[in-house]
Amino acid sequence: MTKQFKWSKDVYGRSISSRCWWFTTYDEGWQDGRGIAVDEELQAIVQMEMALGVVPEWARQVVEKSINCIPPCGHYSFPRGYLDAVSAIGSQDSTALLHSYCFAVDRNRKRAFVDYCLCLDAWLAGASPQAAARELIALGHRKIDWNAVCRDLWHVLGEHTEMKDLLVERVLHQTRWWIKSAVWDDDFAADFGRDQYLGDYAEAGCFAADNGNPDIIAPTFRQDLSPRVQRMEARLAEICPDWASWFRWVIIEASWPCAPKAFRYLEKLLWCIGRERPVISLPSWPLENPEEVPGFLRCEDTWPNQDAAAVWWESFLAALRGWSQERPQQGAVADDVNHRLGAHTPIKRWLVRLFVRRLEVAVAHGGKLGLLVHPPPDARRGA
Amino acid sequence: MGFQWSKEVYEESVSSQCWYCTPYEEGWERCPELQADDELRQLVEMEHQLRPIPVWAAEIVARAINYPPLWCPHYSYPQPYLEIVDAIGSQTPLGFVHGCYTVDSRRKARMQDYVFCLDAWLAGVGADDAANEIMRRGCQGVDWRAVCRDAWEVLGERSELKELLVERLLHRERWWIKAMVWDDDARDRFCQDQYLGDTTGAGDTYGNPRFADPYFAELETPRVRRMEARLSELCPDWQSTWGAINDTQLCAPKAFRFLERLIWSIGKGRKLSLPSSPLEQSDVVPGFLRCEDTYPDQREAASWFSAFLTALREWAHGADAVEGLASEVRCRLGERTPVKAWLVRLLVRKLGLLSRVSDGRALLSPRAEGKRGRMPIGLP
Repeated sequence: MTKQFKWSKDVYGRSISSRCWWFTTYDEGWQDGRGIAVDEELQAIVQMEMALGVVPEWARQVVEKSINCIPPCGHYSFPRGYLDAVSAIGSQDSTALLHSYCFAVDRNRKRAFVDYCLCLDAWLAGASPQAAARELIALGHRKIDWNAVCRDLWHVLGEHTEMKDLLVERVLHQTRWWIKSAVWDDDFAADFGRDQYLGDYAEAGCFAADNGNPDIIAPTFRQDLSPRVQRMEARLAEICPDWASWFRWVIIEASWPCAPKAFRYLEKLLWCIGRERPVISLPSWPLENPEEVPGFLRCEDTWPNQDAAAVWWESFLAALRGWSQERPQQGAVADDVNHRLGAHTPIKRWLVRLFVRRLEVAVAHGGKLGLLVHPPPDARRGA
Repeated sequence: MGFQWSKEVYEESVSSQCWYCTPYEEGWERCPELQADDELRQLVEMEHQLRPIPVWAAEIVARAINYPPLWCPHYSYPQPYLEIVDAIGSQTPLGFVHGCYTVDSRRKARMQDYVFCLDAWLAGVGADDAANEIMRRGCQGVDWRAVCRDAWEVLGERSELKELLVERLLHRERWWIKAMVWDDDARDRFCQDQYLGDTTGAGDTYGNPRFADPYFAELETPRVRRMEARLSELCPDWQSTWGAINDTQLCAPKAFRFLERLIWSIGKGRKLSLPSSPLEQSDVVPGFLRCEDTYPDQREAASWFSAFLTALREWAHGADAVEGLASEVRCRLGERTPVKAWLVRLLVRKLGLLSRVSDGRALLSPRAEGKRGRMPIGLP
């Protein structure tokens, strides 16, 4: 006789299914009368888990790493991270984790940032837009219209002032820091910025390790301990009225290079620096009547088209649901998902169902993933 | 018809195309020494007897023999000289001339490490904090903790002048790291996030037609001009210091030693004794950058060069050495042919003229007091 299943805080807390809700409202745990407590699908998933008996170690790792640590914003390499999680379930192996997770940035994207750093450094140096463009046309990683980028950037930034120079310098420092400290599986914060002191070296504290990839061994560089940064910020606090309330947060805390629209974000930030005040609306800093920011950095190719992402997302969820219910879907996305998942097993079915629920909650209740797969109509589209 | 030594005969010869950086560069009419050079006359006569000169040989003359390391013997000494010998021996022009303004990525990385140290000093951090990073990310085999401790000590108390000089020096060193080329480095691998001047280049190519020299571009950038305008107000001996900072070419054998002496000069506020303006009494600068492994012992280098020239001369005149460097040279040159013999004699003449006029003397005829390196002189 099987023991009767009763949905409770204790049952949930003991389950492995409870270990995959990072960066969602479920991460706060059980709350009577709402959220997890009233989630019937999650209840069914935990019941499935209990029926499995002992969950093998590989499956526990898939839950805690591959499913738990999916990027809450979608990651610039969307949909790679989600497909990697599917592959981990299908292959019963979660060791290949690094790609497409928070603060994981490959060298191609770093090189794209490097090009914009050159633009900003040239502007700071007082060079002409033509001089910067000439170098980027010859050596730039992305083959875009650099003459137009530099011409428009110089125009957007306008006349030099102490405030603009310092803000651009701080953006440049931050961007270089990201380039140096973000990781990839062939770059553990060791390949970029070798000649640049960007903060005190620390063996531990790598953002990627703290945000889903605990196995990564990579250093970080404590910008807050850099006297150069402290000097910049102290002066900005004196001369920039919006430093503490806006620019500081936008430049330092929320400029993640792994976010899909990181370059668009930079574009909007630079627009504000040209105006010397916040004139844009961001999800965390909404503004009434924001200014329309044109695409002067020509960076639309750096993030996925949201409409295409939305279509893919629906097909992806349908494929996962179909597979877990043993009613396989058809089409390119479903074929890929079915191939990655391979033969059905009870454990895989439980994991796929859990993964689907995890994704649904992520979109509905947390993170910026919804902006990518359910985009607002006025959001600038990527290419 | 007998051979006539004349302006026309000389100027139409292939042998006339390899005298860059020597007095012969002035040409027939402005260089009486050229007209009176019996060895050169014999070389042109030899060439006449060999005509038509194969394309590969003409290219070796115009690129490799014209552009061996010119003002100094290059940090990779003696590799560039042996590569010319290899080109002659294999009858194949060099794909890339490793000479002036060429530096490989390993050396660039080493300079990046020193740049990091100076950047950290400029940022205002302590020596230990800088060392923590460079010990883990920097080149192996260097006691970076000691380097940072001593460099901070040498630089001493901060002043506007010191900070600006270090900033100017950093800019120049980063420029060399970025702008110097190698087989696998078309100015597209280092410092790509930094605007340091137009790397396009419009100067000489030094044997590598893809890469024109952009030497002056960095000096003309607005940021550098701003720094230098202020330095000209602050620095009592700015003209001399300006020249020293400009001439920090990373391809020079003692580039790191020169950096060491410059840092000493900045920190201690002392004038630097330079070959162009030697001081009667100057400080003995200790090796606080621990960079002796980056340059050879000059006595060993001088001895090698002398043996090398002798080996070339003897081979060109028919000797078959069986041991030592002469044997090595013979192996590399392979079967003796009249065209090869002409090229080798031409190379010997070029090197003879170069060692007379260039700063190569500093390495090949070392001064008694010069600091000795310990980079081994190996055969590539």
